[in-house]
Amino acid sequence: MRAEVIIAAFFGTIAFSILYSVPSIYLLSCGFIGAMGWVVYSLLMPFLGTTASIFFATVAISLISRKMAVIRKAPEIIFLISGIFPLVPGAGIYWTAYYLVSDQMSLALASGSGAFKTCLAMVLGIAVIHELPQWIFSGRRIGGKAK
Amino acid sequence: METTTDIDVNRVLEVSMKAGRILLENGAEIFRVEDTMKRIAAHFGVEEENFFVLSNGIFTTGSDRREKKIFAKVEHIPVHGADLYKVVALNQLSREICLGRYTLSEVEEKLDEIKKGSPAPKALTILATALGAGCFAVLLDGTIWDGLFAALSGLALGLFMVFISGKYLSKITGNILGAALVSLICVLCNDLTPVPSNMMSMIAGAIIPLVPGVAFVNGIRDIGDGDYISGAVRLLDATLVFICIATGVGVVLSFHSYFMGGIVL
Repeated sequence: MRAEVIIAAFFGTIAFSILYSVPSIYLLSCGFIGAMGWVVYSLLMPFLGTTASIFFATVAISLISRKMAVIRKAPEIIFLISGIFPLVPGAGIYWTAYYLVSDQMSLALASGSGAFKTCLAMVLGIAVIHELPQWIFSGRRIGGKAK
Repeated sequence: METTTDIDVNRVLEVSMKAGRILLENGAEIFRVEDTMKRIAAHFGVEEENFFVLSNGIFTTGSDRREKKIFAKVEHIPVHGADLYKVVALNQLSREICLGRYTLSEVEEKLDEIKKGSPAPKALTILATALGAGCFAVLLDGTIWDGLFAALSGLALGLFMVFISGKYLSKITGNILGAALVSLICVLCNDLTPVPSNMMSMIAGAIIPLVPGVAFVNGIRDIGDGDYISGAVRLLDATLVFICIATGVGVVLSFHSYFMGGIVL
């Protein structure tokens, strides 16, 4: 894996966090999460293929986001949206639409189904981590202050 | 005097709707909007309430059993951009409300303060657009040169978004023209400079600032939470933007291949 790609993921995530006006004190955390997601994705990619590596990268991002939400006392969504951004199949969906516009149907179908599978993997990854009870992240016992 | 008669149901529910509106407009998930509204209402003693939140509307009914006052309101909330700092601020406010730090009128003041907000400086937005475009071109298998060219067109895109499309153009026209502008610059960089470059990653990276990331992730998130209608609407919104982007790029690339020869990518 090239080092510049990780750096690009880090600063790319920060750039989009700025565009979504995430408060500046959280920018570094967002960049870290984005870079970690990309590292997991590109490490698993050669062994598991796109869909499964997107799934595990999303799981990693959601886990870190939930933990970060507890540590930094901020809503999880700001870390999740920024961190997952590099994995969003923006380019995939865009190429699908582009092939549709330029009447290349078989290419459109191929990139479209790829983007769709990526979306599904992201839904599953987010949903699985969403099910985990909050005490795992906050460190409180079940009988404690439940929230 | 009993405490229940002291509660002004209308006012409490108005306040929680206001909070819900700010959250929904600025890119919070449906689940969070409903949860925050319930917490605010419950904290100020309104128990008989129902909130139904969609991606572009909030429906509230509530009643005070003793006085038989009924509150009902529907608010239409158009799909909007995303200022996540407002979500953060409101989340903090809701925590503090639950700790009992504020009275109802203090909450109203705080909400107005959050709603006004302070938009990010324009220069920062433009630079972030350029940085994002450049970084994503590198992420999408580009070289450093591709990144630099993409950052250049990202800079132009940022200027376009801040000064032209954000003010004068609709979402559809703005996205089509923005994508066309970006691909024009990328095509020119590719043709007129001697360095080896990959137009595919360059354009794909440079259009990323137009990609509706918040709508997309929130759509997925809502579907994961079981809010299918809102999730589907948000994903549809994102898809429309993708089609606009593709149209803009497609037009420029077709012209390019028409005048310069060679294949359309």
